[in-house]
Amino acid sequence: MTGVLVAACSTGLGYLAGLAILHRRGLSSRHLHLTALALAPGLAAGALSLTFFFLLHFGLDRRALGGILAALLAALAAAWHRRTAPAAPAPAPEARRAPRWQLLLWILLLSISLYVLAGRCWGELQKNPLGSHDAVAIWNARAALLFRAESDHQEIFRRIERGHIEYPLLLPGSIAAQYVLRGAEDPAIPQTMGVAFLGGLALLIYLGVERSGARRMALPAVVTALSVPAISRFSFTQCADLPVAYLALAAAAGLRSQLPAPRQHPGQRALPPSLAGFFVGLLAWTKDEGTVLAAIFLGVFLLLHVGSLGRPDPRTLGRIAVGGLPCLVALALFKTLWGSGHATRAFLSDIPLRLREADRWQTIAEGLLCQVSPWCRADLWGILWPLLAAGLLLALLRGSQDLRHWYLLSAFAAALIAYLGFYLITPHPVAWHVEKSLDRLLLQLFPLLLVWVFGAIEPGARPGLAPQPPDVHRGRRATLPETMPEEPAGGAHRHRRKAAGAAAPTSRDGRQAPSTARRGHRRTSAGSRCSRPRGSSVSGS
Amino acid sequence: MKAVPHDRTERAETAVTASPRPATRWHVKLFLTLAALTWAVGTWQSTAPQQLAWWKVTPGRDILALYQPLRRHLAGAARVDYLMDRPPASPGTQKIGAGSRKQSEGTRFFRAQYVLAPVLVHQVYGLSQVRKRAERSEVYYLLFDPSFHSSLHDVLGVLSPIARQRQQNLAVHRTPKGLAVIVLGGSPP
Repeated sequence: MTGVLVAACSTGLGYLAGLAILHRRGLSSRHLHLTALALAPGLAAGALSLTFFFLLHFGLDRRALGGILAALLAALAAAWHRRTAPAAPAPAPEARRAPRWQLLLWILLLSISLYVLAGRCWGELQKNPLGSHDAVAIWNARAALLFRAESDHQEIFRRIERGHIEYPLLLPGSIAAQYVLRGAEDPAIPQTMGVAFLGGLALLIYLGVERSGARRMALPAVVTALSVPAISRFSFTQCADLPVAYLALAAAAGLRSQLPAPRQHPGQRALPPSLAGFFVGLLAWTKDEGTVLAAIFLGVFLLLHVGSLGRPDPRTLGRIAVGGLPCLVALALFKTLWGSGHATRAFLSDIPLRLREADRWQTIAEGLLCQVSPWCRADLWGILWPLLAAGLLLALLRGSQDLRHWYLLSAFAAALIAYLGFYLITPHPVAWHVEKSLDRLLLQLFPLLLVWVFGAIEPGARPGLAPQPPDVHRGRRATLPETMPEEPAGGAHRHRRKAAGAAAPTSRDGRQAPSTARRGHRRTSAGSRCSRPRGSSVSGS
Repeated sequence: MKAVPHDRTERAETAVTASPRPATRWHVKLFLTLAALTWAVGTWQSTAPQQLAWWKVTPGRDILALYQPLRRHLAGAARVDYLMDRPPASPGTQKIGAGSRKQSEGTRFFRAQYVLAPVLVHQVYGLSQVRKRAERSEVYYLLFDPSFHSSLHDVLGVLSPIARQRQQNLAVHRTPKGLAVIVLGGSPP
C-alpha cells in the first residue's frame, strides 16, 4: 500500500508540474486539469529518472533526492500560487456534441471496458507481480541493481548496459528513485506506474481527438483503444512499449500543436514548445526505438514547419531543443559509459548482405499482414486495424489542405516504414524477430493513427481545422465554416444567454455569439479563480 | 408598455434564426457502428478464457525464493556466470530460442538477475566457455540450475583440474532445490 502511495504521490507531482507549466497557456479550467493529468505520468517519470541519474552520475548522495523533490514541489506551489497574468481562456471550438443517448451508450461501453481492464489487471498482478519477462529482466532488475548498490554507480551503469543495451534509464531510474523515496523495494511501485501510463494514454487519446475538432468522437476513441486486448496484455505486465506509446503520442501531439494552422484555435497550441521537446527527449531516454521515433517526429515536424512557414522559426525550434536537452545530455552521458562501438560497426557492415536476402521481404510482409488481419491476431488486436483502415479511407476521401492535419498520419507512416525497414537489416532470424516484436512495435504506433482517424472523420469541423471563434473585440460574429451547426435551441442556450448578460457581444441579428456566451456562463457560475484572467473585460467577470 | 418575457423572446429568436441540428453523415454513422463492433470484439477477446481467467487466478510459483538462499554465497562477487545450455548461433548474435523450455530458462535467468542484484549475472553458453572464463578469472563464480543442465558432475569435471592446477579451493553451495553456486578460488565459507 505504501508503494502505491509513493507512486501516486510521484504522479501527483507530475500533475502539479503540468498545472504550473500550462496554467498560462490559455486553456479552459477543464482542459487545463485534463491535460495536466494526462501528462503527469510522463513528467513524473522523467523528472524522477533524470534527477536520480544526475545525482548518481556526479557522485552525489542519492538521499538528496527527497530534498530536491521537496524543493521542486515548493517551487511549483509558488508558481501556481503566484499565477501572474494567466492567459485568458481560449474560446472553445464549436464542435458538434453527440446526442444524449449516444453519450450514455459510449459511457456504458467505457464502464464495461474499465471493468474488464480491472479484472485483467488484478489477475496479472496476482500471477506476475514483478511483471513480464522483459520487465523483470530489464527495468525492474536494473532498478533493484541501482537501489541495492551503495557506491560506484558509474560501474553499475557500465554493468547494466552489458545486457539489453537498447534501454536507457527512464523506467529503471524512476522506479529506483521511488524505491529510494519509499525506503525499500516494492513491486507496487512499477505496477502503479503501469496503470498511470495506461490512464495517461487514454486521456491523451481523448484530448488529441477533441483538439482535432471532433469532440464527440473523443469518447468513442478512448473506448475503442481501451477495448484492444493488446493494451491490457502489455500494460499490466509492465511492458515498456506502453510507456513508449504514451510518450510517442505526447511528443507527436506536442509537436503538432507547434505547427501553424489557418484559423487556429488557441487551445490547439496548448503545449509549450519546450514541453513538446521534453517529451521527445523522454522518448529517447526510454528505449532506442524511442530515439528512432524522436528523429522521425522531429524530421516530419521540420518538413511541415518549413513547408507552412516558408522558413524555420528559430524561436520555436530553440525552445523545443531546450526542452529536450536534459534528456539528451543524460542519454549521452549514459551511453558514453559503455559504448565501444564494435557491435554497432559489425552490425552496420553486415547490412548489405542482409538486404540481398529476398525472403526477408516476404517474411516481413506476411508478419505485418498477420498482425493486422482479424483472423490471425484477433486475440491481440480484435478488429482494430480493419476499423482504422476503414476510417483512414473515409477520412482521406474528405481531404484537407491544412499541413498540420497530416502530421500524425505522416509520423505514423514514417515510423512504420522505419520499423519494417529495421527488420530488413536485423541480425536476428527475421521470422523470429517479427513474431516476437512486431506486435509491441505496432502497440507503440497505433495511438497515433487512432487519434488521427477519429479526429479526421468528424463532419462538424474540417479535418484539423477548428472553427473560427467569434470576434469578440469587434462585437460581431465571425464567419463559421459551412459545415458548422448553429447553436441548438433549448434550455442550455437560454441559460447561457441569461448568464452572459446583456453586455455580451452579439451578432448582427441580435443573437449572442455562442462561444462567448459559454465563457460568460463559466465565469459567472463557476467563479473559478483559475480561469479568470486579471483585468479581463469580458462580461460577467 | 408590457415587457415581453426574456425567455419567450429568446425562444422566438431561436425558432426563426437557428437551424435544426443537421443529420449525422452516413460515413460517421458507419464509422461509429464499426467502432462499437470493434469494442465488442476486443472486449470479447479480452474476456476469453485464455485471455482472462482472473476469477480463478492462482499465484505463480515464487521462483525468486529459489535464488534467495544463494545470495549470501555471492556476497563478495561482482559478477556470476549463469550456465546456459547452448552456445549462440554465431559471434555477435544473441541466442534465439523458441518453445517453453527456452522461455522458462530465460525466465530463470532473469529472475536470478533480479534476485542477485547488485551482482551482475552473465550468461555463458556451454562448458568450453566456462573453462575459458574460469581460466581467466582469479575468483570465478558459476550459477548452476539443474532444471536445464544435465549434470553438475560435468561442470565440476571442467573446473576441478583448474582448481588443482592453481591449488585453489573449489566450493559448491547447493540449495534444497538443487541450485548451486560454484566458487573457484577465494576464501572458504
